[in-house]
Amino acid sequence: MRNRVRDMRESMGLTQAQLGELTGVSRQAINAIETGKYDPSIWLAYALSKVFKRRIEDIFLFEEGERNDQKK
Amino acid sequence: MIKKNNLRKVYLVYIIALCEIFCVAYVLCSSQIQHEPLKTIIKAAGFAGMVLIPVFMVFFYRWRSKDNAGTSDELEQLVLTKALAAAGLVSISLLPFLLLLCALFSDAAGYIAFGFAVAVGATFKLGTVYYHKKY
Repeated sequence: MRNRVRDMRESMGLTQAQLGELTGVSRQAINAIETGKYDPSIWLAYALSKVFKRRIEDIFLFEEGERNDQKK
Repeated sequence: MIKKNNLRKVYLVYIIALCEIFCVAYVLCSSQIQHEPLKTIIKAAGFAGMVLIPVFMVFFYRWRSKDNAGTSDELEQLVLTKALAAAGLVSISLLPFLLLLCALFSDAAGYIAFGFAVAVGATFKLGTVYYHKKY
């Protein structure tokens, strides 16, 4: 899933470690999310939306059919 | 996020307990060894392991836990879950061979069981390394 975590983090002047601290996960987890290797749980997405003060769908770009494509 | 847990601490205690059991077994079994110098070496290694392994493991744990305060977040739990699943698959798959080989070669049953334990443990360790690198 594509996301705008890196853009939003950098616009707030945060490092991955700082964002990890604010959301309660490791720097590695933030890096994996930013590079699209890992889709976060709904609770982590919620924590990120709280930090960025944006809606979850503004941060994570849900695309029609993407979920079905992953299953194929 | 998924609630943080003390997975690492549990793993540390588990590893120390396992090593202590192995070391005690070494010390107890060393009396069966006929070769006197080897007997002394195995016994000394067993006692040294009993003392040194917990110390080493605690230092290792503290060194590793600097990064995330000793807790595991949802990514690490995912990695450990996948590695445990791989190790479980290997252990279940190899179990019939373990029983068969132990029945056929009962003299070497200890070595066969040791090989089985190494294979399963190595799968778990390699799995964690692989998934850590992947994410």
